[in-house]
Amino acid sequence: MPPNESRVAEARAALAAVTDPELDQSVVELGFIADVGVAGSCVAVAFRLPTFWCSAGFAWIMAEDMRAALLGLAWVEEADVRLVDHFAAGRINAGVAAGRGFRSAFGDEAAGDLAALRETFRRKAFLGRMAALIEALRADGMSDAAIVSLTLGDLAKAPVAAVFVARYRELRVVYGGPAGEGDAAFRKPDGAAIPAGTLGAWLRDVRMTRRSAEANGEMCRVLLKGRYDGLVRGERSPAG
Amino acid sequence: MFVTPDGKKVFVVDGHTHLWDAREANRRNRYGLTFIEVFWNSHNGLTPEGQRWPWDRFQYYGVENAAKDLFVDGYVDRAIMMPTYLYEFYNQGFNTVEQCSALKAYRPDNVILAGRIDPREGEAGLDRLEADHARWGFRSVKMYTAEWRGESKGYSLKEEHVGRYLEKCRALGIDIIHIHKGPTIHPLNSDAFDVRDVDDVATAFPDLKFVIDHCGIPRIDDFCWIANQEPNVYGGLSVVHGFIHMRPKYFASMMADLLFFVGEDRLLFGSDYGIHSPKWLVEDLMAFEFDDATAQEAGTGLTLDVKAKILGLNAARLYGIDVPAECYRAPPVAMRHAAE
Repeated sequence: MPPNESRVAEARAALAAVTDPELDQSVVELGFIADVGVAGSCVAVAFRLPTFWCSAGFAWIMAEDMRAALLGLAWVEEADVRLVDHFAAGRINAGVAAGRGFRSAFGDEAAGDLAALRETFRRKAFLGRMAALIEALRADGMSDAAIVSLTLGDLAKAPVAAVFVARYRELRVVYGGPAGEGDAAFRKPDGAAIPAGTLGAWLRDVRMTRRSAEANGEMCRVLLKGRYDGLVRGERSPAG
Repeated sequence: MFVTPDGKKVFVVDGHTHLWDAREANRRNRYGLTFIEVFWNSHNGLTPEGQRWPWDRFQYYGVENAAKDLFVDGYVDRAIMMPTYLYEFYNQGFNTVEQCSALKAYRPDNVILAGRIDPREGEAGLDRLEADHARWGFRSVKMYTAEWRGESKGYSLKEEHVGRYLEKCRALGIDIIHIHKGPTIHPLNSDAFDVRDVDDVATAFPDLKFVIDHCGIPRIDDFCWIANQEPNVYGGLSVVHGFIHMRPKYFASMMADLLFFVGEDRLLFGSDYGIHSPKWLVEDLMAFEFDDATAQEAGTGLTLDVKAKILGLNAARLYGIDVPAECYRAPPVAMRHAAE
């Protein structure tokens, strides 16, 4: 593979690890990456969203995370991440490129930075990833008593795909209290234990969080497809 | 009404309809185009093949087409019209009460007009609500939180004037408040779709009924929690219902959560017409069944009782609409339990 092509592939792999914070799905899988170009040590990425009106906050977070992921590659010296076809594209692109805060880019239109928004959806992602993991264990026949007594170390041997475990552990460090190998695998976000007898009811509640994100992701795919896959429209928008 | 193969007549209230004008001549700027394009992409992506409209019709379908799609082909007995003004995007407004009233004039017995309030309009808005109500006589109003107004890019129910507007509604006898969360709300750093402010107004105004359009999608999980706690909060099923044909798996899982947490007595059918048409939505729902696992998750199957409530009986009870004697009836769950 010529060096440039392999760098494009590396850049795409780095982007694949970036998630839409609202959906907890990869921006690559969602089809948000329109173009990746490499010139020497510079990477240029164009990304697009399902509507002209998608949240500026989430768009900013994705742009920031994409830029950080690209700059994390050893050979990248410059990363130009550019949102296209969006009502706030100009301000987001300029602000993220300059390493500015959301507040300073949007002035009075933003009452603060994006920390609270990130936190709300990271917590939902934690619940969603936990629900998915527990459901997989249950589907494999593991009892609720066995599930709640698993340690984080035990998860390595659990009959579930390693990628689910890795994604869960990434956020288990943030939520649920101590996260050493010998600590309980499954805890509520505040660190409270989940008794085996209540696992089913608790799961019934948090499953909804994951399903909501999944349905939203599907709606995003539908809208993105309509926007970019050339369904007949009487005219092109100035943005498109 | 929809008649089942064995002759049961299901009364249909479409709780979310529009009569919009997004034609080029009415568009104030590029926002007018990008706004209707989102609807258009949803229409194309979720409408069954063979029932999608041409782009020209989608921009403007007019009174006669609407009457046919809703009342002739679409099984709808009553259509509730939800205004969306958007004067910042459209010269004469996108879908105002005035525009909707043309359908009311054409089919007076079938159309119910909802009013429109925007708490940022201060005293003038209160006066206009009173004048609109004197002219059209509302049972309900709609709040569209994503509407731009000058420098403002949207509002939250926590803003100070909301209470005054709701008190005004109460004084006028308007007791049903439809709330639609949309994007680009001010401030931009917060979650524009956050529905948790609904909790505050629902608690502060326990005698008013709050219908949350689209069940809060994309925050249906938070909506389920709130509606579970607040007996005066209802879910408007437009957008949720739209998944039924092209994405039935997601429709089933959302309905399971809504039936479990909100319950079969507080969910209201809405087509979001012209994004989708009631004909296929009603036909698909009447034919839809949960598998056993989904029914267990929902706490109920999609029985004829549940379908009839969603399609019309719940809205009829909420709005005080008389259901013809020939139609299928199903009592609310609480009453059914009391009778047992």
